[in-house]
Amino acid sequence: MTPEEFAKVFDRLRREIQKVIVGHQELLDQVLVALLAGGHVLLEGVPGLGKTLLVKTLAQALDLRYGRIQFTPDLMPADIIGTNVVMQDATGRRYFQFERGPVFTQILLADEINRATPKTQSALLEAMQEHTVTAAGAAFTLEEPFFVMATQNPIEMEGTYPLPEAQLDRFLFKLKVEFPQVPELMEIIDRTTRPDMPQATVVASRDEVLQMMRLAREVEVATHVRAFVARVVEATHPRPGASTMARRYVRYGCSPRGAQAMILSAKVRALMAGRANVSFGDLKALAAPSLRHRLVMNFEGEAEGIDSDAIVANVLEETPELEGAKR
Amino acid sequence: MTIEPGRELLRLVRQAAVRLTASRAVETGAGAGALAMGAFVVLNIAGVAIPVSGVPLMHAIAAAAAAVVLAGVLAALLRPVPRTDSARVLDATLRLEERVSTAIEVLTSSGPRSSLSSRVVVDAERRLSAVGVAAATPLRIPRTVWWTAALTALLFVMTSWLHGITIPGTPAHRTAEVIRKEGQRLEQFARTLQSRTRTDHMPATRHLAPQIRDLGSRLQRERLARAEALARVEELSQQLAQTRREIDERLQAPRPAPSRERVTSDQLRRESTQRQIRQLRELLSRLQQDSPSASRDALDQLHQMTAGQEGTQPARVREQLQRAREQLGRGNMVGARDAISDAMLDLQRLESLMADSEGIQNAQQEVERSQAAIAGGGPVEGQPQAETDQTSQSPVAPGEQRPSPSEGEGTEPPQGPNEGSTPGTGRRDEKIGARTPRLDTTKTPQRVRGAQAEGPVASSEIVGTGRSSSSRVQAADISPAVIARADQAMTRSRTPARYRGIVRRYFQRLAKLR
Repeated sequence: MTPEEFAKVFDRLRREIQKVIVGHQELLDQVLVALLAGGHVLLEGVPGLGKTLLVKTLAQALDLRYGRIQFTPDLMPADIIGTNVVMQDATGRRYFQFERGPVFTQILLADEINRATPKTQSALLEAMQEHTVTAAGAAFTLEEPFFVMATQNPIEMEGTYPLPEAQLDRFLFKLKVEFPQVPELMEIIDRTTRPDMPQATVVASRDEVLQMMRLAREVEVATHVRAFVARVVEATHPRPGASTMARRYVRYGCSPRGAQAMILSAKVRALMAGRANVSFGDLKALAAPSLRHRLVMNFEGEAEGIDSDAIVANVLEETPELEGAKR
Repeated sequence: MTIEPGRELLRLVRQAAVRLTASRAVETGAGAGALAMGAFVVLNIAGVAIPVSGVPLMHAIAAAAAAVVLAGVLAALLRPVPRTDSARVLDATLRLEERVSTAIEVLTSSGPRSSLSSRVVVDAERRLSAVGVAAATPLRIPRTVWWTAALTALLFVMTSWLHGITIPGTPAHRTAEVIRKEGQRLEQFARTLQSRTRTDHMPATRHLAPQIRDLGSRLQRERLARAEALARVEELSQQLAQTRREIDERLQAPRPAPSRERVTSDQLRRESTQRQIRQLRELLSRLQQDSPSASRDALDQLHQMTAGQEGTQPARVREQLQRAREQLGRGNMVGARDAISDAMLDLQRLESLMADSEGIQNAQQEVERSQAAIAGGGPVEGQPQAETDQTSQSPVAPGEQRPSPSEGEGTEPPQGPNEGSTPGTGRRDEKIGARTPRLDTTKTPQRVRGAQAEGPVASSEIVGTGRSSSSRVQAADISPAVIARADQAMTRSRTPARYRGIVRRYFQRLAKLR
């Protein structure tokens, strides 16, 4: 696959999903970037903004298997990964057989993930990072591509279990789903209240998706571009050399996964533009979704309600593209 | 023929690197020029407060140009722009989204290449070729060039219109005052020297006096810096030394280093020559009578002159006098008169040379004194103010040494019975006091009237040591105008040169005693 073919498939995919999903163009692009970068996405937004529909439509357009788990406080890990059940064969002999859970899919919607207990949430850790599931001493490999899209509601915090940092760090992006504008809202009303609901058709096969994912890893990154990413991540840590806001409001900065997320997603974005190299523009465009959920605020930051996006923006502003250059 | 991918890209990036290096060199050079010009401006501005020599405009421009070239060449040689840096500059200026820098890295790295590497190179090459390197790296005139131009204009204004201006009360002002006063002093001295050359025959001194006067006038008028003033004084000093060497050679007397003894010897020699000239003149007038007694007297006198002046008379004069004696012995009065006239002419020429030598020596001393005053007139560490004020003393007449101020200068003169000689001190009641004893004598007429007649002329010089004592009145400066007036009066009066010499020596001795 060439970068031009990549861009073509990507564009086709985007247009197909937009037949169903109204607006959210940037969000849609970022979801596709995360998918092709081999990452997972945490969507944050109030209910009813089309998060589930987006995932479903994505699965339809890619001809991938789709699964959904509605996270509730009483959800158990076995409800996610599966469990051994006693089976009886024709001779009457009983045996244990692993019954696969909903995680054994290709596109998984973990709806309202923060409503489950940390124990249940952590059941997803291995699947997200290793793309494998271990149950009763046996390891099962998940079929590629494996893409988790978790949602959480930012306003109903009662009875929720905020995701631990370790789990948050495993999401490539944290995306904010904004409320649609009036014209988009009118379009949503129009599309969803007609007898014939628009449906997405398959525009890319699983193999094509895998090829695109492999191609994305081939994109070249220059040394000074990598150095910029490293300096950006370094500047999120509250120590000498950090950005002004990071020093004041951040308790823990981004992990190295933040840098990986920036580079991987930037590679996909470069291919989207038909380029075979990563630019500073790619990195800056995807810095906020890559880093915002990896920052842990200190007391002052929490008290003042500092948005992590503001800190990322401040870091980008204060980090020169070329080392030693002045802004 | 196929071109290897990336070759054109490398060429373009190299070209950009050369242009960027040149641009940086120009910028560095311009910066160095501006810095140099700024330093010269600061130096000139500082000249209004501290006695530093300002840099002339042309010198400053030459130095700044040298700084531009040197800094530019050094920057180009020592800090060439690397290829990677120029690629990054091209990316930034042409908005190539890091295509060129990534491609250069791909081309120059020895590590494994990805499947998209060649595509990166081709893409970058295509885009850079389409745009062109010159567009990305234009050779602009650095902004510092305008600064340099502005500073040059400022320097021009300063050197043209503000040259030599000083702030009162600052060391620079004091130095300027010293230079001005020295100029005034030299001019006054030159005037006196010129007036002396009108009475005495001093051709070389007459030639040099206007130059001294011109220097003095320039020192007053041109607001010169210390170094410039010293250079001009030094130039004149060398000229004086050269002239004096020539005169010394003509006098055919290898002169030892200047010393008090030598000065005295020169003076004695000159006075002796003058005396001989007078004697020969009298002798000539006597020989006009053509009488036997006159001839006898002349023979005696010639004998005395040749016998007593063996050390000071030139050989030629001695020969002529000997010839005169022989002619007189033979009764040839005309021949004797001719020989005496020749001897007198020779002696007059000798006296003229001696007068020149003395005049130039005095000029040299004055110029050297001015030089020392100007050189030490600035804010020299530990230099007392009195020393600086010394430079403002009025000039001395040629051949005279004015008493220099002693350490107690500036303090009030001692109170005592010397009313009238210490003006401005003490109250009237205190000054009156008891009447000092007066001599009860009648006035003698100033002129003695009588008829002019022939008679014997005798002259002798009495040399003796006086009683040493110190004056109760402190020596003080008198104005140059008074000195000039005194000198003019001395010149106008019909005082014999010999007595003038005595008076001069008296004051020279006073000056040495200070």
